[in-house]
Amino acid sequence: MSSAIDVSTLWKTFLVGDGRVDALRGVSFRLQKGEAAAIVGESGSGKSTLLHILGALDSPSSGSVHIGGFDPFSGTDREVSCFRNSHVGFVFQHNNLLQEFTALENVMMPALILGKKDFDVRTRAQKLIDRVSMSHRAHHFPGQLSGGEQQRIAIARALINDPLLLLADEPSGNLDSVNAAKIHALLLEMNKDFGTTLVVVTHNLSFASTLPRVIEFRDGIIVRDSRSSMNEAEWSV
Amino acid sequence: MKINSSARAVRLIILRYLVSSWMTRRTRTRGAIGVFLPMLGVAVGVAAFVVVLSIMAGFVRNLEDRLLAVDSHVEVVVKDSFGFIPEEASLLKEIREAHAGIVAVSPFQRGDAILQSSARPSTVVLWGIDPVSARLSSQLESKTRNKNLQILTREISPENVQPSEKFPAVFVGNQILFHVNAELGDRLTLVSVTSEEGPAGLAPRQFPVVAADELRTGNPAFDSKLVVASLDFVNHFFGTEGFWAGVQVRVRDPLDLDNVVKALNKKLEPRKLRAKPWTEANQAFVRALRLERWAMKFVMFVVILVACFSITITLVLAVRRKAREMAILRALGLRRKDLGLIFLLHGIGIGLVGVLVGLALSFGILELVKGNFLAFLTGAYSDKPLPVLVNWFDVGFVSIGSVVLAAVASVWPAFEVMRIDVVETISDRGGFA
Repeated sequence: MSSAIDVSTLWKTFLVGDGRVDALRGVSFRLQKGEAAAIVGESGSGKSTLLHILGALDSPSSGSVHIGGFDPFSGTDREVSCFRNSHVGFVFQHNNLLQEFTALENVMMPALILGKKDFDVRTRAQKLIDRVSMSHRAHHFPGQLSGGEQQRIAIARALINDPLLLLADEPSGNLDSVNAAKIHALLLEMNKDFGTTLVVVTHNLSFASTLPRVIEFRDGIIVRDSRSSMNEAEWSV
Repeated sequence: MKINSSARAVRLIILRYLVSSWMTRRTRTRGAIGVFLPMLGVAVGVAAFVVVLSIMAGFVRNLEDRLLAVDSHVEVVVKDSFGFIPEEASLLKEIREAHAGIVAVSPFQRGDAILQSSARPSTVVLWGIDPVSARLSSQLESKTRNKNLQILTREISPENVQPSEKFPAVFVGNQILFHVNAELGDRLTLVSVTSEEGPAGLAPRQFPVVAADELRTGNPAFDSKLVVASLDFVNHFFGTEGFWAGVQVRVRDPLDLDNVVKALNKKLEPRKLRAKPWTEANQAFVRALRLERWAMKFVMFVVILVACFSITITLVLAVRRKAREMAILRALGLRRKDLGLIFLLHGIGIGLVGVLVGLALSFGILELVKGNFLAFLTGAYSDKPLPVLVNWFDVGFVSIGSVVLAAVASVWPAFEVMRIDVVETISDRGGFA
């Protein structure tokens, strides 16, 4: 099984005033293709920073990151943007959608950026919307959707280009427990059905425990990296 | 790595921000602020520019019409202003070819005379023209009732003397006719102001003529002084056969004579002739007109410039408001320069729509002005519609200039959006580097 994510001695340092804050301190881990992992830890432990670096939204101070064998930080803005577009899908905590576009158009957007034909894009977007049970809301604008519905559309959008990696940063952070559970279930379903590597940053430990792998951060280092026994055998290299 | 074109997505986003955002009730208010107000600013600026300058140009043309009702744009005369030019067809050709801006030439004769009716005399300027070439070199024909200079070549029987032989036709200024208490068709007598030796001693030359048409130039200097006749008759009257007093020259742009005059003077120097532009006698007036034209253009352009500042402000606000969306678009794979392009084209789009709306508005207003539908505004000036002359160069200049200004106004917002820090924005920690 090949690596989807290969992180080696990753450091991220922020300069704050005269001082410096090490958000990540020599983090190393690997994730196989199709694997699902929860990143947990206290606020400020470096979870979101890691997620941003994995999605090439931020660059590391030192260390190496390879996504699907590609080093996203070696390319130009054009190459990194293209990498993000075709290899990474994002689901953020809130306000994920573009307000002037319908749910369907929001889902289509990454594929349009990729330069795919409008008809093909529309067909695939419609299928994904059906898949996240949002067909009846396809032509609604984000302002007409509930928080849970918006997150469903964001998940569909993240998958439109069939990415290698699906990154979710507190996807249920703004939702009530019922809707949060639905979103958790949907993410796991998508991971299984599409074989997309899933990395979820969450504070919700019960949701984290449902994922095959849990990586716990504290003060910028990994303090626990556990796999469920069934998955340990499956993912052992 | 294969690089893909995001042009389709960029186009969709720009169109949506420009137009479709008005479609939904929820986004309409934003659309109105983000697009409608700066667009309206440009539209009002463009409309004001076109309307004001078209009406100004109309006024200028009106004034020029009156000043140049009979006079030509340039007169070629002998250098010391006294004496005559020997009649020579090749001279006309030489003048015509001196500069590309010259459109027509025509010889003339001119002198003082007395016009005598049965009631009273009046001192006049007798003007001899070549009816064929003068049609092109001056506006004289349009200032007559019958609009036909060829009448001057005829001899006509007067209506107030019966029975009568035929006499040369002349056109008489309408105020002269009133002054001498004569009517069209009446026999009048042209009397020379100098005397010559005759059988009965010294006596002025007298020629009976018929008032075949009247001149109505709108300029009292002409209408109360001018009598026009054929060149041959006037030469015969003054005894100057074989000579011209000068040559009238008509040019394309009567306010841009410098080059024509220079070219003519250079060419006519050996003949001891000189070109005398109409502006020479009206220099202060012409300078005032030119200054006013440029001042007005400048003021109107400042109006558009201010409107374009509003594009900058609106777009910078839009960048702030849409920062999170822009960060999400970056996360979805748009490049920095795609974001810049969205705002640059957004601004150009606002400018373009503003120009189109402004042009439609201005032509609508000009139609109302022409049809005298705005009489309540112009009543103090005249009971006639305001004169309108659309200068297409000015229209093109303001249209292209406004779009260029809108593009320039969008540069800063475009750079602003390119500076968005995606992580900071998505984390709700600000986001501008």
